Amino acid sequence: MLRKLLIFPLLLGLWGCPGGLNVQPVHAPIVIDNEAAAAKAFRLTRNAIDESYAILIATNRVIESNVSTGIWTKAQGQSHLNQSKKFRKSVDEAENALLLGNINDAKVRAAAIKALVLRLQIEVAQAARGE
Amino acid sequence: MAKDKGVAKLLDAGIAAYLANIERGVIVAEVRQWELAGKTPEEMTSLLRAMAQESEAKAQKAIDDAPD
Repeated sequence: MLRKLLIFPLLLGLWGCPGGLNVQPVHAPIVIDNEAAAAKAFRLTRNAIDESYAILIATNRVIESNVSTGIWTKAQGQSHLNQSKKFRKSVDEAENALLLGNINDAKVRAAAIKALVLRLQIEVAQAARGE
Repeated sequence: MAKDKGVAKLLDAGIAAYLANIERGVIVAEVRQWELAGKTPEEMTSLLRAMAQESEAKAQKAIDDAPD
Protein backbone atom coordinates (compact mmCIF):
# COMPACT_ATOMS: atom_id res chain seq x y z
CA MET A 1 0.00 0.00 0.00
CA LEU A 2 2.78 2.36 0.97
CA ARG A 3 4.61 1.37 -2.16
CA LYS A 4 1.54 2.23 -4.28
CA LEU A 5 1.26 5.59 -2.57
CA LEU A 6 4.86 6.38 -3.42
CA ILE A 7 4.51 5.28 -7.05
CA PHE A 8 1.33 7.32 -7.66
CA PRO A 9 2.93 10.76 -7.36
CA LEU A 10 5.83 9.48 -9.44
CA LEU A 11 3.42 8.45 -12.21
CA LEU A 12 1.65 11.77 -11.87
CA GLY A 13 5.00 13.47 -12.33
CA LEU A 14 5.67 11.47 -15.47
CA TRP A 15 2.23 12.28 -16.82
CA GLY A 16 2.93 15.86 -16.02
CA CYS A 17 5.74 15.86 -18.56
CA PRO A 18 3.53 15.73 -21.64
CA GLY A 19 1.46 18.44 -20.01
CA GLY A 20 4.64 20.49 -19.62
CA LEU A 21 5.51 19.93 -23.21
CA ASN A 22 2.07 21.16 -24.19
CA VAL A 23 2.96 24.50 -22.65
CA GLN A 24 5.82 25.01 -25.07
CA PRO A 25 3.79 25.83 -28.19
CA VAL A 26 2.12 28.59 -26.18
CA HIS A 27 5.51 30.10 -25.30
CA ALA A 28 7.21 29.44 -28.64
CA PRO A 29 5.48 32.22 -30.64
CA ILE A 30 6.39 34.72 -27.91
CA VAL A 31 10.06 33.78 -28.23
CA ILE A 32 9.83 34.11 -32.03
CA ASP A 33 8.10 37.49 -31.65
CA ASN A 34 10.89 38.70 -29.37
CA GLU A 35 13.50 37.47 -31.82
CA ALA A 36 11.66 39.15 -34.67
CA ALA A 37 11.41 42.38 -32.68
CA ALA A 38 15.11 42.23 -31.82
CA ALA A 39 16.01 41.56 -35.47
CA LYS A 40 13.83 44.49 -36.55
CA ALA A 41 15.41 46.80 -33.96
CA PHE A 42 18.87 45.64 -35.09
CA ARG A 43 18.03 46.31 -38.75
CA LEU A 44 16.50 49.73 -38.07
CA THR A 45 19.46 50.73 -35.90
CA ARG A 46 21.92 49.67 -38.61
CA ASN A 47 19.91 51.70 -41.16
CA ALA A 48 20.06 54.76 -38.89
CA ILE A 49 23.83 54.31 -38.54
CA ASP A 50 24.30 53.89 -42.31
CA GLU A 51 22.14 56.95 -43.04
CA SER A 52 24.10 59.01 -40.50
CA TYR A 53 27.38 58.05 -42.18
CA ALA A 54 25.90 58.89 -45.62
CA ILE A 55 24.73 62.33 -44.42
CA LEU A 56 28.14 63.02 -42.86
CA ILE A 57 29.91 62.09 -46.12
CA ALA A 58 27.62 64.46 -48.08
CA THR A 59 28.18 67.21 -45.49
CA ASN A 60 31.96 66.79 -45.57
CA ARG A 61 31.98 66.98 -49.38
CA VAL A 62 30.03 70.27 -49.23
CA ILE A 63 32.45 71.63 -46.61
CA GLU A 64 35.41 70.66 -48.84
CA SER A 65 33.78 72.22 -51.91
CA ASN A 66 32.76 75.46 -50.15
CA VAL A 67 36.21 76.00 -48.69
CA SER A 68 38.15 75.15 -51.84
CA THR A 69 35.95 77.47 -53.97
CA GLY A 70 36.38 80.31 -51.48
CA ILE A 71 32.67 80.48 -50.54
CA TRP A 72 33.62 79.89 -46.92
CA THR A 73 36.57 81.06 -44.89
CA LYS A 74 38.88 78.53 -43.26
CA ALA A 75 37.26 79.30 -39.88
CA GLN A 76 33.74 78.65 -41.20
CA GLY A 77 34.82 75.37 -42.79
CA GLN A 78 36.75 74.25 -39.72
CA SER A 79 33.83 75.00 -37.41
CA HIS A 80 31.45 72.81 -39.46
CA LEU A 81 34.08 70.09 -39.92
CA ASN A 82 34.77 69.93 -36.18
CA GLN A 83 31.06 69.29 -35.60
CA SER A 84 31.04 66.64 -38.32
CA LYS A 85 34.08 64.85 -36.81
CA LYS A 86 32.49 64.90 -33.35
CA PHE A 87 29.24 63.44 -34.70
CA ARG A 88 31.07 60.74 -36.69
CA LYS A 89 32.70 59.54 -33.46
CA SER A 90 29.24 59.30 -31.89
CA VAL A 91 28.02 57.25 -34.87
CA ASP A 92 31.08 54.98 -34.39
CA GLU A 93 30.07 54.52 -30.74
CA ALA A 94 26.52 53.57 -31.75
CA GLU A 95 27.94 51.06 -34.24
CA ASN A 96 30.24 49.57 -31.58
CA ALA A 97 27.29 49.20 -29.18
CA LEU A 98 25.37 47.39 -31.94
CA LEU A 99 28.29 45.05 -32.67
CA LEU A 100 28.55 44.25 -28.95
CA GLY A 101 24.86 43.28 -28.99
CA ASN A 102 23.65 46.24 -26.91
CA ILE A 103 20.76 46.82 -29.29
CA ASN A 104 18.76 49.16 -27.05
CA ASP A 105 21.78 51.31 -26.27
CA ALA A 106 22.75 51.40 -29.96
CA LYS A 107 19.15 52.22 -30.96
CA VAL A 108 18.97 55.22 -28.61
CA ARG A 109 22.43 56.47 -29.62
CA ALA A 110 21.75 56.03 -33.35
CA ALA A 111 18.40 57.87 -33.21
CA ALA A 112 19.91 60.78 -31.26
CA ILE A 113 22.96 61.15 -33.47
CA LYS A 114 20.93 60.84 -36.68
CA ALA A 115 18.81 63.83 -35.58
CA LEU A 116 21.98 65.85 -34.86
CA VAL A 117 23.60 64.88 -38.15
CA LEU A 118 20.48 65.89 -40.07
CA ARG A 119 20.49 69.25 -38.29
CA LEU A 120 24.15 69.74 -39.19
CA GLN A 121 23.39 68.99 -42.86
CA ILE A 122 20.59 71.60 -42.83
CA GLU A 123 22.89 74.13 -41.16
CA VAL A 124 25.61 73.53 -43.72
CA ALA A 125 23.14 73.81 -46.63
CA GLN A 126 21.73 77.05 -45.18
CA ALA A 127 25.22 78.45 -44.67
CA ALA A 128 26.06 77.50 -48.26
CA ARG A 129 23.04 79.52 -49.42
CA GLY A 130 24.32 82.44 -47.35
CA GLU A 131 21.33 82.40 -44.96
CA MET B 1 32.48 94.60 -60.57
CA ALA B 2 32.38 93.94 -56.82
CA LYS B 3 28.61 93.49 -57.12
CA ASP B 4 29.07 90.97 -59.97
CA LYS B 5 31.53 89.07 -57.81
CA GLY B 6 28.94 88.98 -55.00
CA VAL B 7 26.27 87.62 -57.34
CA ALA B 8 28.69 85.01 -58.66
CA LYS B 9 29.48 83.97 -55.10
CA LEU B 10 25.77 83.65 -54.29
CA LEU B 11 25.24 81.58 -57.44
CA ASP B 12 28.16 79.35 -56.42
CA ALA B 13 26.61 78.96 -52.98
CA GLY B 14 23.25 78.06 -54.53
CA ILE B 15 24.90 75.43 -56.70
CA ALA B 16 26.79 74.09 -53.66
CA ALA B 17 23.53 73.77 -51.71
CA TYR B 18 21.90 72.01 -54.66
CA LEU B 19 24.86 69.66 -54.89
CA ALA B 20 24.54 68.94 -51.15
CA ASN B 21 21.04 67.64 -51.75
CA ILE B 22 21.97 65.41 -54.65
CA GLU B 23 25.21 64.26 -52.94
CA ARG B 24 23.19 62.22 -50.47
CA GLY B 25 21.31 60.59 -53.33
CA VAL B 26 24.61 59.69 -54.98
CA ILE B 27 25.81 57.96 -51.80
CA VAL B 28 22.52 56.07 -51.43
CA ALA B 29 22.87 54.89 -55.06
CA GLU B 30 26.42 53.74 -54.31
CA VAL B 31 25.19 51.75 -51.30
CA ARG B 32 22.53 50.11 -53.51
CA GLN B 33 25.31 49.04 -55.87
CA TRP B 34 27.20 47.40 -52.98
CA GLU B 35 23.97 45.64 -52.00
CA LEU B 36 23.58 44.29 -55.54
CA ALA B 37 27.23 43.22 -55.53
CA GLY B 38 26.41 40.99 -52.57
CA LYS B 39 28.06 42.96 -49.76
CA THR B 40 26.78 42.09 -46.30
CA PRO B 41 25.15 44.82 -44.17
CA GLU B 42 28.24 44.74 -41.91
CA GLU B 43 30.56 45.27 -44.88
CA MET B 44 28.40 48.15 -46.15
CA THR B 45 28.46 49.91 -42.76
CA SER B 46 32.22 49.42 -42.64
CA LEU B 47 32.61 50.92 -46.15
CA LEU B 48 30.43 53.89 -45.20
CA ARG B 49 32.51 54.50 -42.06
CA ALA B 50 35.71 54.42 -44.15
CA MET B 51 34.16 56.85 -46.67
CA ALA B 52 33.12 59.20 -43.84
CA GLN B 53 36.69 59.22 -42.50
CA GLU B 54 38.11 59.76 -45.99
CA SER B 55 35.74 62.68 -46.68
CA GLU B 56 36.75 64.22 -43.33
CA ALA B 57 40.42 64.00 -44.32
CA LYS B 58 39.73 65.60 -47.73
CA ALA B 59 37.71 68.43 -46.17
CA GLN B 60 40.48 68.99 -43.61
CA LYS B 61 43.07 69.15 -46.40
CA ALA B 62 40.95 71.71 -48.31
CA ILE B 63 40.77 73.83 -45.14
CA ASP B 64 44.50 73.53 -44.48
CA ASP B 65 45.35 74.42 -48.10
CA ALA B 66 42.96 77.41 -48.26
CA PRO B 67 44.48 80.87 -47.95
CA ASP B 68 44.07 82.62 -44.58
